[in-house]
Amino acid sequence: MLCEKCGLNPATVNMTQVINGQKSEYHLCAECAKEDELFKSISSTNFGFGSVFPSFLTESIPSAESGRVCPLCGTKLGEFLENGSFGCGECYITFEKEATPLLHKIHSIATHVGKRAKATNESAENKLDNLKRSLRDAVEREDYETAAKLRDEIKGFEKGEDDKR
Amino acid sequence: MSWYNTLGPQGDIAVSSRVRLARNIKGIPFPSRMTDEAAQAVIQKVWDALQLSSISHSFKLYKIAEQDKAFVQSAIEKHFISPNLASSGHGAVIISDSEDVAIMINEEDHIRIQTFSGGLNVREAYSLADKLDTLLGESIDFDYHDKFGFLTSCPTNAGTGMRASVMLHLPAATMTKSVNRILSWAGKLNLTVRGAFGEGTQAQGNMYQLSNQVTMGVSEDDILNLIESAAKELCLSERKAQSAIYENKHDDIADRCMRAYGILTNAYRLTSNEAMKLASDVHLGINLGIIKNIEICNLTEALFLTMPGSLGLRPTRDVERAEYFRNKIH
Repeated sequence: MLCEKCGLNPATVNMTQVINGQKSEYHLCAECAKEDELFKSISSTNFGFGSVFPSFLTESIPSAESGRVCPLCGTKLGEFLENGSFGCGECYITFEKEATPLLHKIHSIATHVGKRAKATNESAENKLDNLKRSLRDAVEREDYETAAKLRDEIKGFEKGEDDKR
Repeated sequence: MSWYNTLGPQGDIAVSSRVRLARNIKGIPFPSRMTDEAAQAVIQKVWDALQLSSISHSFKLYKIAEQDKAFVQSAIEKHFISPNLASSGHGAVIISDSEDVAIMINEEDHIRIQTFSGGLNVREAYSLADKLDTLLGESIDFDYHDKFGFLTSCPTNAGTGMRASVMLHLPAATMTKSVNRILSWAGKLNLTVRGAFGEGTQAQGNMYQLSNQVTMGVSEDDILNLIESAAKELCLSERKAQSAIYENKHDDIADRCMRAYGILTNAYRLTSNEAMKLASDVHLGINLGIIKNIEICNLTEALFLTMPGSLGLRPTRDVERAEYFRNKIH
């Protein structure tokens, strides 16, 4: 696709703007994007991963909490919220409350269902508990599509366990 | 035989398949937060685990900081390492002699197992990645959480840690300006399509990469099914589009393919970009039966083996590239 502004260079910068539900798409080349006021305003905004956190979450963190630090790697809650990346595996436990909605936003479901690590082969009971917990979360969020998926998975899992017996 | 010179399933359109599993070692901060000492220990640990394992492959370990520019560039071109790993001070890559395995160490995560296969063959690639993961897991304690699965530096990779991708040659989709439609179709399926070489939708040589976005809440099998069915659909629509443009613009397409064949097999000097562009037209010509004496896998092999890094980044590489095509593709 060629740049919508100059019509000469390939459009390498693509942006979708949504204002009051009205969607507009822009495709510009790097040169024209540099000159464009809208793009300038966006590139000056901090678009770190922190922006994927629901605002109510970051706003509601008490100041004492915002200093929470991962005991293994020293990542602070504030840093995690800003960058949206983890410093170590322990961060997932330290920041579990904040990580869960983030993972949910990215993947639609914040529960792993695939291959499991050898050392921590989870018991069938634990897996079922996790699935049921996720189902409750989904219903509370009124996310019925995810809930239906989890319900089917629980049914399939229970059937599998029955068959084993 | 490597994945880039094997004609796999749907090989007229699908060039290769790749599976990546991201893993981290319990108790060690992720690469963005680790010391150089810990990084060296991770490299040693992975190498030792591989040596102890029963896998029959033979491997070589390359510490990035100790390699020359041409090696690093060539490893990026073959997708064995990411540009991110290339610029990391304490990264390494373990590559199998048969070039079907490339394990990146200390990129964004401690371990990124990558496996490759020719054509649309994500299942074969996954089966090898799964085997390596299980073998490494016998001596390495991975960072794993009962609810979140395999823990990764970026939350977009957590859960299965799996990214499956297929490299597709889509010249007709590009000519008919259908790529934007494909992008939005893929987005709705939680898949990503981007240029396999180069940036965004401006794919060099009309090579695109289709991969999954979601890694949690889906099993490895779900990901394989999704990628496989979407890639098959893209192959089918590309085949139809190729036939349709040939039917509508018979002489234009025939001339374009034959002209590309003429230049590719006779030029004295070829830049990498030009070779990719010409090879794409020749590939289309082979698919449409216009060019009959060239095998697609030989063409793909020539492309990968004449990229700048593979030609040692030598100043004479454009002449060497043309010579390679003159000798091997005719």
